[in-house]
Amino acid sequence: MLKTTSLLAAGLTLAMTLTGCGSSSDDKGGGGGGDLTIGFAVPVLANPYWKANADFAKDIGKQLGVKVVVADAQEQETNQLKNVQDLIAQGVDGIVFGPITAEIGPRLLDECKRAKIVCAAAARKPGVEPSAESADYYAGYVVGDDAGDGAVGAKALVDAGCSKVVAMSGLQGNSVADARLDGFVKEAEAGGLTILGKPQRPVELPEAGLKATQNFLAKFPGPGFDCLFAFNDSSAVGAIQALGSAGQNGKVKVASIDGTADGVKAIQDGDMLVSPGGEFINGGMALILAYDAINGSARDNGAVVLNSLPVTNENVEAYKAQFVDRLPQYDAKSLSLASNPSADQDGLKIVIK
Amino acid sequence: MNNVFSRLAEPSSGLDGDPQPLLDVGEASGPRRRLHLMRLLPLAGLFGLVVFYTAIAGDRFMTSSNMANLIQQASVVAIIGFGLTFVVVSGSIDLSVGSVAALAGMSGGLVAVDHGSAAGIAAGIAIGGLCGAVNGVLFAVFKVPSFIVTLGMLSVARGLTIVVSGTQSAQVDGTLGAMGTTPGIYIVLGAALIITTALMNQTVFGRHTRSIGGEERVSGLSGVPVTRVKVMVFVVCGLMAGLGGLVLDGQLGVATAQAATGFELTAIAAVVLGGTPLTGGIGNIWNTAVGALIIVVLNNGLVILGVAPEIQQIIQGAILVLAVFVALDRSKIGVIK
Repeated sequence: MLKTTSLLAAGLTLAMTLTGCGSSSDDKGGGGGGDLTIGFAVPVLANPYWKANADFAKDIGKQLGVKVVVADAQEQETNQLKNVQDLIAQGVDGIVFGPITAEIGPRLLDECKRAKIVCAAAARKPGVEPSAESADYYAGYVVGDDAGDGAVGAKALVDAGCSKVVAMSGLQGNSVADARLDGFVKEAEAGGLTILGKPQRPVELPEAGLKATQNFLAKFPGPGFDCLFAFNDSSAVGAIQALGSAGQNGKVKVASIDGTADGVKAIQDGDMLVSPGGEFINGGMALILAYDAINGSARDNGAVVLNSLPVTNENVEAYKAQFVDRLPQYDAKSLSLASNPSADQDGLKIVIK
Repeated sequence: MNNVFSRLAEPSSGLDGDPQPLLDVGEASGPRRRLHLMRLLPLAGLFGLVVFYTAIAGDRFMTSSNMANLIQQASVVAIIGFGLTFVVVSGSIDLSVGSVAALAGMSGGLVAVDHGSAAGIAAGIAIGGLCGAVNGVLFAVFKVPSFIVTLGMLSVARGLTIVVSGTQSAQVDGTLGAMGTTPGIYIVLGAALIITTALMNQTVFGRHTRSIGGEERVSGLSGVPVTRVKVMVFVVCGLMAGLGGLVLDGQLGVATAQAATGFELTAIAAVVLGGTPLTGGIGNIWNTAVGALIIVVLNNGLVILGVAPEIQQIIQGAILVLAVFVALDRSKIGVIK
């Protein structure tokens, strides 16, 4: 019995490892036969945003001849720290990490400094600005314009003639959620929008968006609002479902952020006005930062804030074709200073071609 | 195995079947009457919340559309909680119900896209049952603690959901979509409530479940097929988690890999708020439905009253502890763990 139990336990452990429990996986198809290996510590692969982010980073790595090793922290800070330590132990030449929180960023950078390998952050600022003193181990960061994305949503709602809006955002203290909401609130107030009630938080998943919107409909019957701002496409999907069930689709205008496949479909269906998207390329762009620094061609400014690309019904088809249906087509070698010394220092942008 | 489910419970079982805890107060007397009244506390708490919110903001809270919303919001947690109640009453725990619901919902959604709703629904429920069977066998046959087994399944099922979905969502419609909208969601919720209540209160399986939760060793000596019942308890829990995942698909109109994240804790809260102690032995399905409603009514009312989200979280946590403190029937629990 003991032997059988042990075998089962081993099988369970293997299954958990294979299915991504704090695991790391080599990009076997993306190595390109190069000498460099760069680890990519992502917060959670279950999130489509991070899956697309990691896939794009692998593609960039393949173009540069870099083997990319992806590690999934499953939204646990301790897992992410362990993942970075494991990647260092594996002997990677550099690490890109998407800090789960801004607070874990400095700790991860300490690991890079101690191991004397180059690191770069993606999606969220790691709480430390790149400087000459940290240039040996810190290539910089590539993040989205979170406040700008929130402002894009507010502006779209104002332009659509909205007057009263309800809002929902992610977990309190999450720097991305806070910045998106702050950007939205500032632009909404500047545009004369009245924000009803308290923005509901944390509302990040479809079921949470559904519930929060149903509660808003109860609080402001009629409805007493004509617009809704969602923190991300995932929660917007639930919000749109709630509005549809209440017969308010189209009457209440929705703005969101992320430009995921679900958001694109909502825009195509006429259920959503705007969803700034394409930001998931930040991991691949941070990989270029790290690659250049490893090769002695660090950028003058490692603090890269990507532009905001509003996806609306005017460009949704082109965006879908280039960012959703396939990986975005970026020429990594032309963007890399190490591969192309004449590359534009400010060339890391979200662009629909 | 069939006779476990099909035989009706005999009146003088010798075990505390607690068949209709909310309805037979009038026939009890003395301490027994007090115990029955204790079991009404979750319902009284829910009623108190409704009265309070109606008094403060009745024009927005006590509307037919809001009442419908509340039942719909509670439905998935309640359905998952119905299955979880069997596990908790048997003295175990299942931490995997949220992930199993996601796996079943995602698999069912994908199957439905290619083969229609009926196949999708069957696949989702079957996958839920299979996950429950794996949990049950590892726990009951191979003697791995249920906390550990289901903690592992929580991770395995979520990982498998990512694998089968490729992190892409699947649009659902047809019968599967109707399971999450009016009136389908009421039909599914009502059917789940009736079937699980009957299973808990009117069958030998239900009595055995309570018996094992009350005193497993004595139950075994009394002829209760402990291992078989424990496996079936987890199968029932998995089936209900699968059904809950499918209803969630229908509610959202889409199956996603992240669906039902954290639902295991909400479902446990619903069971506990319904007065079912985690120590097992007592509890019933109806009160889990009440517990699920308390959670959504509390949240709904706080939003309507304009309470800040962070304060909502504090209140919800405090209410959970307070409700259990007041409602727990300590006279029936040997040891508070």
